[in-house]
Amino acid sequence: MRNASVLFVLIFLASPGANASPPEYFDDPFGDSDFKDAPLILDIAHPTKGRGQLSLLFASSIIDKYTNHMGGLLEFDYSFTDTLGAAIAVGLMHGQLTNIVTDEGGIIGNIMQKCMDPSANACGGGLFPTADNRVPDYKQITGVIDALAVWAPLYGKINVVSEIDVNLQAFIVAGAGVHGRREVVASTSGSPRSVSDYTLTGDGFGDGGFLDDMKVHGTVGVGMQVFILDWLSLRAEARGLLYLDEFDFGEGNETYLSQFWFFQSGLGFILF
Amino acid sequence: MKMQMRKLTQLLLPTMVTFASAPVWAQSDVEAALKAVEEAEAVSAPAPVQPVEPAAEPQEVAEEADESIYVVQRRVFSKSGKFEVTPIFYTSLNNKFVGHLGLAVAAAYHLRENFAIEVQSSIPLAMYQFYSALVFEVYDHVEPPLTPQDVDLKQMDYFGALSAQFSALYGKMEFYGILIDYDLYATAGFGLVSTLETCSPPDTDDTTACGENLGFGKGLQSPEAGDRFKLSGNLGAGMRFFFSDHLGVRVELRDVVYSDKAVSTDTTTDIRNNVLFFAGLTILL
Repeated sequence: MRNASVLFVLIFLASPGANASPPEYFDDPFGDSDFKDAPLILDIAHPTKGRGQLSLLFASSIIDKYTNHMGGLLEFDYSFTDTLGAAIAVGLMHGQLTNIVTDEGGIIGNIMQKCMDPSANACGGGLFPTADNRVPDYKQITGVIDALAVWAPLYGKINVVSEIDVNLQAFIVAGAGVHGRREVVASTSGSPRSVSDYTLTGDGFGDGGFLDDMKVHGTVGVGMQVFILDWLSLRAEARGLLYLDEFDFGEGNETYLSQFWFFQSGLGFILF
Repeated sequence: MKMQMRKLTQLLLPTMVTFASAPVWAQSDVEAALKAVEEAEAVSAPAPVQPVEPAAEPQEVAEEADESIYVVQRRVFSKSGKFEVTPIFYTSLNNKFVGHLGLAVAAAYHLRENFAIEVQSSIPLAMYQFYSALVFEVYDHVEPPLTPQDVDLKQMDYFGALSAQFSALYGKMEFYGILIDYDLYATAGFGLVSTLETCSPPDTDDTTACGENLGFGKGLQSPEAGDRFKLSGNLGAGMRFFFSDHLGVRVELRDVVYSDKAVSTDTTTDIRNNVLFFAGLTILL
């Protein structure tokens, strides 16, 4: 412990000596514009035009209401110009009900408490969702296919340790596609023993198929990729899946905009 | 004894290397500088006959003669020693039950190019809080009606913070031929948060006791004085984009974290995370 303390003190004492003067304000000390090379910012190390890239992305839903989604996405991007391109993406999702639904004080737990009340009629069979007990945005997404336009107007560099040439690119995507959905159903026996004495069906991995109960959606997203090798980049983006659904808000079925938002991150493999 | 000597050596060696590195670089700089001067003299046209000026001191040349090409050169802005004022628009991102949006203002002093102290405050009259659709859905469409725990329904109606900012990374981006300077920063600090709590409105038209019914059987009121204000932690990261010496745009994600509780039929507690997105116009003075 004492050695570690001494080491920290020595490092702090040593740091002023190792503190290199920042180069950015003395980039032309002779004032003669006599640089050895052009500034690296002008050297686009990973040209966008004609680039084909395959990305493997991990997707996790954000701002969850009734379901957490996790999944994977395989996307191929091709850039026709320096800033414009197109992409095709295929993804698989797995949904899990949030504690808003499954907790003892949540939707199902609350219904179960009512079922266990001796003065109430025994429930039995389907608990949730039923015709009288339904919430919007309850269905889970199972599979996604997207066709996207990609706009990547910002290409830049970041100064990490002055001489390392780290390139990055910001992009916006917009497009349309289809997705599959499934509905997890809670049911109980006629004489439940506790609030957790119910079973969920349709919530297993792969349940609900890939594009069953298909819907058309629009997709929007914004993201950034950092090129770490000539053929490899790190990608991170936020993507929204928006579609029109119907729900009875009290005056018959009404059309409303359903939204699911995902954070996606992963690797981009530059093929050509 | 031998063991102690070995430990001492292990400790001192990296330090000595660190100390030694500065003169080594300095020596390299001297050599590079002298070489650059010689090359410049060699390729220049024959100079007209003029009085010869005394040569610069070698040490001065050594300090200035770095013509290396760095990844990012010619930053258009320098923050060191300057005040930065930023009017901010913010909105919360994790609106599970409660959302916030409004205006805030931040003032920072940049002690160094990469380090600043910042004071930030929301503008109380320009803050709007709202309940998410989820609160109304589970109340309206589930039988029996559900409401989230009282502590989850408390609304933040003020936040302020004193933070330290560290901006180690900077760079440039090209937007259709226009170069935009930016830097990335991380921020951390402590602050103060004020909250409103839910209450059960009486079955009368008197809205002074607990405000009006918000649509899910509850109203809002200012908590007892002892529970209204609480300390918060602030953690975030952001980017500044500068378009000129004094003007730019700043975006930031900040998590305002505090412990909260609600005392009604049950006492419920929670660690609240309000993730806020800030967008502001930054002015360097």
